[in-house]
Amino acid sequence: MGLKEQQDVLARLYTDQAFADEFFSDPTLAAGEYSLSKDEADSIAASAGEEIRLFAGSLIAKRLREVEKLLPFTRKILGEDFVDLFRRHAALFNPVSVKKHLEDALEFGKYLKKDSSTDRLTKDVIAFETAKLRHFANSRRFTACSLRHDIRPILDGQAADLARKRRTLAVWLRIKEKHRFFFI
Amino acid sequence: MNNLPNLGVGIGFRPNLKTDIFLHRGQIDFLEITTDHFINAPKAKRDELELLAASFPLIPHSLELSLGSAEGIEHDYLEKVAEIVEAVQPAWFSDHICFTRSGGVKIGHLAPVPFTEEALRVFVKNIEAVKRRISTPLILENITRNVVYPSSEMSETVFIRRVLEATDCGLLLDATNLYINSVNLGFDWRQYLDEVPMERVVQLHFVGSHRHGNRLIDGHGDRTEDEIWEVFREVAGRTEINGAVLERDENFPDFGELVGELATARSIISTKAPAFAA
Repeated sequence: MGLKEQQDVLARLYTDQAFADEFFSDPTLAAGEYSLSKDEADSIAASAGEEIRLFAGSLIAKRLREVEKLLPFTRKILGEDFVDLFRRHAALFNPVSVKKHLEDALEFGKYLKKDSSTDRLTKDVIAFETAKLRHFANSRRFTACSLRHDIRPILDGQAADLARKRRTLAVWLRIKEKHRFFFI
Repeated sequence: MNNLPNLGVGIGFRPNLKTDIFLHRGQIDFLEITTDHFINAPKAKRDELELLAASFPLIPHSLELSLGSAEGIEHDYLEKVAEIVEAVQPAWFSDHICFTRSGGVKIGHLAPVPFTEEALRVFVKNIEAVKRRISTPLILENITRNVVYPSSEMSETVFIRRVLEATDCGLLLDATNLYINSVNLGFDWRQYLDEVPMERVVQLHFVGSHRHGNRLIDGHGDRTEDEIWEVFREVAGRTEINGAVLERDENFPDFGELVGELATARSIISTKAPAFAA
């Protein structure tokens, strides 16, 4: 096995939980697509299995910490469910761009919007936070986000149940390099 | 590597620290910027880089050159790193002894390579490609690693020495990573210092670690502990250092605590105190 093949397998093991589970339960079968011999596959699984799992776990933990910082209100409203939901998202998606944490946060937003267990208010909060991230990351002149709840109490640090059901529009403007934000 | 300037003691620039960094300009000799944060950046970030460059000597520190990737250098990324280096005109720039991508997968973290002849050839080839595009001196950082490859043909220290000598690169010795590896993998960090080419050490990184189970973690969110100061002091006692950077990424304390750590580092470097007894 050359270095290229070894790195291809390791990169996948570090980032693809389903592949890793398959690999460690049957190394030969899972490594077939990488042209590893049975001995080579068994050797990776036996010698570095625990370390690979630790490394993969630390990668998810690092991604989680970064995404929590980018989505603080979503983190707060979801509580510990944020961690479970993020882990489910991370099992399906691995960011590839230079702005990987931003990409991860935006994709996690899409995941939550589709997730049937996530309530409408939380979906409004994630829609608000991802719209804000897009506005500043892309230095847009104008960004708007339509919400079904008035989430201002949540943004002010108050309890989530103070956010009333009411159509609102969050608007970000950039005028002469100054950013302005308001609700309609 | 012999003619590099002495930049003193600096801190890794993080947006959360921006105001405090400017309020304490007199106590910060230079800044290390994460190159990736300024790649494809909006105008506000480009303006920020310009402001930082006008106010401090800057050292770009990139994360994704993936110098250990057998599939080679990603030329688009190299071009972007080159643009930042050209904009900043640093004394040196840095990346890591690792790979971060392979087979279309970006790992998102610094992954170790097996210490083999083949990996050595890969590093030399990739670093030569970087040096053809960027003439500024490149220095390479030792990473933390939990994975120990049975296929390794030499020790980490021999591997590092051979990479640095073959490519004429400097060493960014991360005192924290060294200490963490010594605990997690069970080796003597003083012996490691005996074996790496100390004359090639250009810069140090330092920050605290924390314990998770029976392992130490480089979370970049803790106060530098005594054991890591001991490594720092030992390195400073053995060789000239051109710069040291506090690499704090999160869990930020009062900025005075960080300034205190910079002062400790400055004091160690300037007094070159004898190393602690083992």
